[in-house]
Amino acid sequence: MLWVLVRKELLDNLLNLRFITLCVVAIVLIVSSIVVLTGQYHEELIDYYNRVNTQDAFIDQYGHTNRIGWMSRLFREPSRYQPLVVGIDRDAAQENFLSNPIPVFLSKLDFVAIVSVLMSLVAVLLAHSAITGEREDGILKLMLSSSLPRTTIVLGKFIGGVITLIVPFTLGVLLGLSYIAVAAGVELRSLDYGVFAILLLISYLYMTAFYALGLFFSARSRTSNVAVLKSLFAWVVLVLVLPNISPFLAAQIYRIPSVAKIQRETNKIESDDRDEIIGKRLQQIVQMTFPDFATIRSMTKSDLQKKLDSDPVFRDRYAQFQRAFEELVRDVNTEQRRIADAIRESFENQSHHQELLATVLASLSPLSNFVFAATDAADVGLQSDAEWAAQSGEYDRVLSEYVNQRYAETRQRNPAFDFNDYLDLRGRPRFQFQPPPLAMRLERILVPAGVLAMFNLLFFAGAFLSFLRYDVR
Amino acid sequence: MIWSIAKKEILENIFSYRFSILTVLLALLMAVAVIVGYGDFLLRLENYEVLRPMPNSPNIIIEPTPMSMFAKGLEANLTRLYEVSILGIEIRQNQQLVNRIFSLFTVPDMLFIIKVVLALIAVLFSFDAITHEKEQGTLKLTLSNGIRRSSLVVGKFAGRFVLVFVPFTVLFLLALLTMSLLPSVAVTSSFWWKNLVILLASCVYTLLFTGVGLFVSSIIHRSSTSMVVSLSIWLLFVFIIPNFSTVIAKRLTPVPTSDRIEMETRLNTIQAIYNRIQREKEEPRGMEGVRMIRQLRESTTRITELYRPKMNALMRTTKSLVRISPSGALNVLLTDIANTGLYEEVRAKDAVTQYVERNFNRINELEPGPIELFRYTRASLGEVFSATGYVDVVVILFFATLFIAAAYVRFLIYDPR
Repeated sequence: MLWVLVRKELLDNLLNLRFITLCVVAIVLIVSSIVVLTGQYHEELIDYYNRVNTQDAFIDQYGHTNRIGWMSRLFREPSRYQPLVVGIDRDAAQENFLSNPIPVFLSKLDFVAIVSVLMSLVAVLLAHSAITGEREDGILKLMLSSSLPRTTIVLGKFIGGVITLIVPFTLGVLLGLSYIAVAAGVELRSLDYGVFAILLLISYLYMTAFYALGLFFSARSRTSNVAVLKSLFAWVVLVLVLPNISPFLAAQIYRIPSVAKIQRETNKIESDDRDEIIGKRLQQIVQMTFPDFATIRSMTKSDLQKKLDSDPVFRDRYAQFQRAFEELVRDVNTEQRRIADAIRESFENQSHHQELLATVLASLSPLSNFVFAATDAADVGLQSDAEWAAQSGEYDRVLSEYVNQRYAETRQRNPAFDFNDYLDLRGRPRFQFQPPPLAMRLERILVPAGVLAMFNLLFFAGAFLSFLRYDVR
Repeated sequence: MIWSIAKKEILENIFSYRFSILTVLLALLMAVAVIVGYGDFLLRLENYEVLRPMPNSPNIIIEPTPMSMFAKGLEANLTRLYEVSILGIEIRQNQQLVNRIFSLFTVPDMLFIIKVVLALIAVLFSFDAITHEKEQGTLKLTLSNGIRRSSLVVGKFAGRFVLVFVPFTVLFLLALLTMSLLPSVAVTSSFWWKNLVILLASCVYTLLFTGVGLFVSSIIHRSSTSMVVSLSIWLLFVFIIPNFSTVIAKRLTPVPTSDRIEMETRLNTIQAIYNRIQREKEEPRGMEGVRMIRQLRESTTRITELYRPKMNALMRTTKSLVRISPSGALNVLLTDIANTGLYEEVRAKDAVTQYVERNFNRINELEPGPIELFRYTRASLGEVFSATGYVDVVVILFFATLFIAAAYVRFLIYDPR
């Protein structure tokens, strides 16, 4: 019986002109955004290889020990999934004076944006009249009078609606993916298929959550007009409001000082305060152990030199004093740096907490969970920086070890060789970013995907319970 | 006659579920926008107070504007600290980490409320203006009463527009008043003028989307279909065209990546330093350092001069494509009025470049003398309008006229049966 109902729903929807139009629009959009973004990916990839080669050639020709860190700055390869998931736009970080400001101004229309805004709206619009519409037409009364259980009806509606939503969507996505694979000539690896599958699955989870939401409001309303208003209100709150305000709310709730303030504070600790402490302690040392040096500061340089030359006892004592002074400076420097480091570290922790709070606040909306899961699966999300930092940091260490070794070797052969001289580094290890494996990506998206599943459960349970008590007259 | 129809429309809807739910939504969003916008503004102000240019520390930083509470736009970019080294102008990363999340979502400021939510509300209030009465059968009755079709459609239009725009205006003025009374918001006469223009622009924008709903309602005979079609147009204007146009513009106007510029400048510098050291080893002279900095400066300027026209061309293409949609035009217009838009970005970067040009030698101690203080005043309303604003106004007015006229003409031949 359930399948008869599912079939009815399917036919109802597929023969509906509204629905067909929306699906065609969605498919055209998905495919065209994939095509355009693939073109952009190619361009960026060429530029990336070009840059890597230029820099490599430069190091081959001008490599020297002193500026090796500055010379070999690692570039991030454009993400392979950029045609689908733009994620955190590197341009938007605006690291240079000449950075392109447009990504900050308007976001890009990628697969994630299309699913999160357009497909969720389609799902809500498809579902809003599922129950109210049948009541208005009087069909619901007839169905229930033929002793169909309510459970079967609501399940049939859910499954039928979800299939109508998913099938054309999947066709569109597959069309776009085959463009990436065939026409665009991007060589696909097994990891890529895994990522594509994850993206599809979380899109399904996301769309079904909104379908269940629409069904819920349909089961809570008497007429379709009211149901659509309620669903749209919920859609606006969940899609347009909650995710967008969460980072700002987090910044307000969990206030952290500005970076400029922290920098000023640490600067003060490491220079002004340091000088003051050194001055004080020096005075103490002079009073305690070198009372005879109390007036040494007021001595002119030539007098001091004369005395040093003429008096060997004084000379020894002066050397002792100098050593004590150097030790003092070193100790105070370490101490002050420790204090400043503690401040910097606590600031880092605070900003991580702030980001965490923003993520948690945003998780109240299915959209954010979908975006987090999609960007993390494609390794262009909030968690992508850590992996990059680890691998690039490791490479920097390996490279500097290699350079130091080469330097020591060359210097052994030629004692006059210094760190500004050309050093042959052609045999250096090269950097290759290892993208996180599928298992790691799955682990990352576990929480957001789980929350999405919870939303599904919650909304569907709401729809189910409401329909059980629905007045069909 | 028009007014009695408008009055009927208003009375019919003002106690409806739709009116209360949408007005509550608008009020909620405005409150959030004020709180969030103010907090964000305070953070930037605090940053500026720490870094502001003083005679002993001639920093290059632009004062944050309270207008950013209405349209944040590129304000976070504009108010960063620019530093000058022998490499040229560099940016100090004084962003907060939470900014990474910002790049995944949109800013919920007043511009967002107007561009997205106000348009949605206008569409939701007008999509059934005609179809609903037709479905109820009252349209036939009304027309048989000898009411002119033109008065009916104008009355309906006016009624629905008032229902949307009056609550918005009240809330907007409340938000404006709250913002102007908040501490550390310096209110000048231009603040009021700019907001007046923003209100006027929202008025035309509301007219436009009411026109969209009414037009769709007059070509389609069922409310549910009319809603789907109107929402599709809303989606097309608000999201699809503006966001897709940034991608297409980048394909049409290729610009070298900023990473490439950074790399070229960096490698140039290293090469120059390296060459200098090698030369000094052969014959030690005093002037190599100065000569090197001058050379570097020249090459950096050359790279920048090649790059910036391309970047500006990309901005122009993006703007033109974005303006295919009235929402895109509104986005450009409001951010430009609030001095946080693309126009201001170019203008500010020009000012910084020129300042560095004048003071480069003194900052890098190539010549003695005091460094002038960096001063920057943002573009006035008149300047914005004569530079780019008028195009956006024309675009929005064009779309508004188009849809309203189409709805009017279409209703005259509407079949009310």
